[in-house]
Amino acid sequence: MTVTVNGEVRELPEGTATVRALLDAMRYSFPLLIVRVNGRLVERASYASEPIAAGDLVDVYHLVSGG
Amino acid sequence: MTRQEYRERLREKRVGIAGAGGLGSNCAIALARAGVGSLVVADFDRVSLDNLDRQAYFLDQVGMLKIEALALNIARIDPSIQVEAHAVRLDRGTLAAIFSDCDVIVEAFDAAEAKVMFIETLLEELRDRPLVCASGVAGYGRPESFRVRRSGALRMVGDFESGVGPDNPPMAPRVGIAASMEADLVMEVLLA
Repeated sequence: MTVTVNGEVRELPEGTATVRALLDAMRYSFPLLIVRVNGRLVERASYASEPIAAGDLVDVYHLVSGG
Repeated sequence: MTRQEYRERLREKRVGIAGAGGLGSNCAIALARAGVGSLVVADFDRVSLDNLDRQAYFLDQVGMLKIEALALNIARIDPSIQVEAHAVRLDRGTLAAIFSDCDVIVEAFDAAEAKVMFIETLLEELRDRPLVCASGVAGYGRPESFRVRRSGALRMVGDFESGVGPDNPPMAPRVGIAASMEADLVMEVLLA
């Protein structure tokens, strides 16, 4: 399945059906992320239930402390 | 546009800044110097001696509320700039109301959890309002690692990995670069 993650086209393993699975497949292990799918914010509590489909545009931002 | 025409346009603008620490104080000073006419600043904290390593305050301001010290410092640059200061701890309940009439809102928090709260709350409550945020500003060196990422109304600066830790404190040069990049993205929004 092909999706665009942070502007790059990625081939994800079959069965990568949710935001949680996508984050695991991409090895995004930071504890605090902002995830947008097709421009819409996905809150942390919904990662495991939010579906990902072929052709989706996904933006993932790592949030780390400092300022 | 000429310098004067730019300043006249910025004079009419109102910018929100959530947090008045390293990012917020330096970003506010840059925007004040650039000619932004109205700033809304919120922070509950007081200036401490340790803050002087990167924040836009002075030794004789230790102990003052940061928002009060910041308003004084901006007034020394241009007393006609309107500064609306809120001594509050920003949370999901207060954020949107305080910044609701701003043209663009800057995230200038320290803690990653607060950054997430800012983005989630304002994307939800003030849809399509331009937001400028920072992530990954600690330590020193590798200035070329700073990037800007844009996704709709959301703009973010930083290297997205250098978090503050016991061996990786925030330091003036990198925090200053990030604060200036945030201010520059505000200019991009305001003058678009």
